[in-house]
Amino acid sequence: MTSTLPTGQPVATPRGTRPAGPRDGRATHAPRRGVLVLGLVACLSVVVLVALVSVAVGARQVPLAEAWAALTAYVPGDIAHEAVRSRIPRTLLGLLVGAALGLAGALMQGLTRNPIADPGILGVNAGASMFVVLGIVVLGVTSPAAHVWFAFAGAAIAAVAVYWVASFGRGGPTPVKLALAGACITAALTSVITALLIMNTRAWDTFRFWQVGSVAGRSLDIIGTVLPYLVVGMVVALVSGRVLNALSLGDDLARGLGQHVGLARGLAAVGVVLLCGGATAAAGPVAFVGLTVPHVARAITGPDYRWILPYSGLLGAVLVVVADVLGRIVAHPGQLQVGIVTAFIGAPVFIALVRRRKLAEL
Amino acid sequence: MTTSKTTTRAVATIAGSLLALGALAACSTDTTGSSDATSAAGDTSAFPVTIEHALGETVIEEAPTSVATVSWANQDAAIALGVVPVTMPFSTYGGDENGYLPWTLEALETLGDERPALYSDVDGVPYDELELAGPDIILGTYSGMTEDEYSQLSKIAPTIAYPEAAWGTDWIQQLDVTGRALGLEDEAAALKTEIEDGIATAVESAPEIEGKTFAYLSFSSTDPSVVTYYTPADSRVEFVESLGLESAPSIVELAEGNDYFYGEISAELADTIDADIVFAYVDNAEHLAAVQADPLLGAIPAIASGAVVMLDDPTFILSTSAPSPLSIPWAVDQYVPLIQEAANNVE
Repeated sequence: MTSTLPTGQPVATPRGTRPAGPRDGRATHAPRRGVLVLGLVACLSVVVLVALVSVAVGARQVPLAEAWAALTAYVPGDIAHEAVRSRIPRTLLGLLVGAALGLAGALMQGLTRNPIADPGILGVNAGASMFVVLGIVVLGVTSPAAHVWFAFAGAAIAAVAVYWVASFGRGGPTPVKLALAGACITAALTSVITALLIMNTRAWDTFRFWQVGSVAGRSLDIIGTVLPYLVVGMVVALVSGRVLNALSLGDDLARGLGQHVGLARGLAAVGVVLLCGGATAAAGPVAFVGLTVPHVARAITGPDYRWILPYSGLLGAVLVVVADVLGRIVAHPGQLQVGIVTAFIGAPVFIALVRRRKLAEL
Repeated sequence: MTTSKTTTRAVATIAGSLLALGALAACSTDTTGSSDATSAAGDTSAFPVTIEHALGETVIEEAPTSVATVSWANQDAAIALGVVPVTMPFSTYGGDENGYLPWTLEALETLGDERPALYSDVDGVPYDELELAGPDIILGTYSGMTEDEYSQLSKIAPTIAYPEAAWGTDWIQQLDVTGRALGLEDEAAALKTEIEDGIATAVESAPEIEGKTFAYLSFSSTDPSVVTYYTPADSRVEFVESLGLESAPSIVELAEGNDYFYGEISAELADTIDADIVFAYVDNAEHLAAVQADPLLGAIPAIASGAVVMLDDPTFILSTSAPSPLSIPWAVDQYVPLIQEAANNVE
């Protein structure tokens, strides 16, 4: 999509490709297109690199030549080969979940004009988790294919609930109110999850997974189940760039530029639900990816969402796969779930962001 | 909470595999037991007795006459010594619908069927209920009692916490501490010998298990990428060692520098678990079959050869994982033949 990017077509801003940025005028420093395309290619290369590292590195030390042989000259039953091959599904899932959460975070930040919007912080992942647990405990749903639908419903309901709660009072849904509402809803949902599982000890093992997200030990079937939804969500996200740019000017201006604000928001929200629900159904709740990644992307690209979105997707994939690899290294011979590692990386970033006034509003 | 690197996941594991054992899912509490179930006091000349434990020193001025217990297994040590507690927890995990574990119930029936008042500890220790029972001692020798719980309980009556490590009290220590606290030291020593003789007899009947190495593992059906192992400091592991088996060298090595009672190892290293026999926590036989078919987990030598003691029944698991002076005689007769069967598959 890079070289054919439309420049200033129908409803874009009147003056070329560059959107009007935040009022402080940072937008004027946005890099040139050629640089951004190159950067995107560089990000893609990093994605490929970390994916290869993820397959090569694990609890078991396998020489590179042997790891290569595991892929090209597989001997079933050879434990080194099996170990290397067991890292493939978790790598693929890490890439998918990371890209989905990175995109979802960028979408949410653009949609709410809120720099601390994140599917984890705003309770969307907790909503998805709770509905899946509800399905498991109350309705006895065990197939991952069905989990996805519960995750979607939970993600949508939690998103609406958080936005609604945060809208009360003066100033509408401000960043801090959204974060507080998200924290409250997350706490409430987590209590419900605990209560449900206290009544059903058999679901406890599954609960471990629904409490902290993990890409380990999941089969290719699960990836296949969520893949279609994630792909649709990613497409929706990637075509939302221009809409988010217009929304960043404020609803009135966006309307003045010919955007159907309500429709645009609705479509992007569907993207968020597909991405968060799909990612959470497959990996459980993984926080802070959607928060951190778009800010890194924005630092590279400037305020244009047509660039922020693809960068966020690629950087999200990098973050989750790197977190998973780190989890294997630091906890050797065991491993840390990816949700714990991303929290370690993301929590300081979150604190830094909240403390920086400049980012209080997008 | 722990210095080991296996942090939250490990905590979740223990929440799952241990907290669930005793704490979850109780919705009702049996309070039909008579509240004046009391005991004959032990040797009064021994008092005052001072008992040191991990959370401090407790002085017992006189021989206790009404005993309360918290956590699991502690009621068993008292009952084994002929003392029926005035109150004890409702056993959710492994217990019957009235909250009794089979070995506890058997012993109570032998003692004349006095019944303690049972309380639910699902939401933590109910201090008011304990206070109402009016104990003059609270036994928590086998527990993970916190400082806060200890100070709350100490306001009700002199309280005994675990001796060194949380959940690290074996049945011999349970018997020893309980015997001293109740002034029944001689009885405790005699019972210890009796139980050890019982174990020895059972072991003699199965010479093939002597000296076999073992690993005590827990498998998760939702995440086959890791295995949880229990360290030689754990009471369920110590119990197996007391039957004449030895901890596998790989487990001993893994446990070095791990001051907790379990740890995790990646399935990628499954083939390094060099035990003759594996004791395996699994959901059911189907789950065990899945473990055996897993390309990595199936590489654990004992899993491959079928030298496995499958542990999936809650009551049996509790009898062997939180061994008490009552559960051990109950379990040994079932345990030894299972280990014998696994030993016959050792390659």
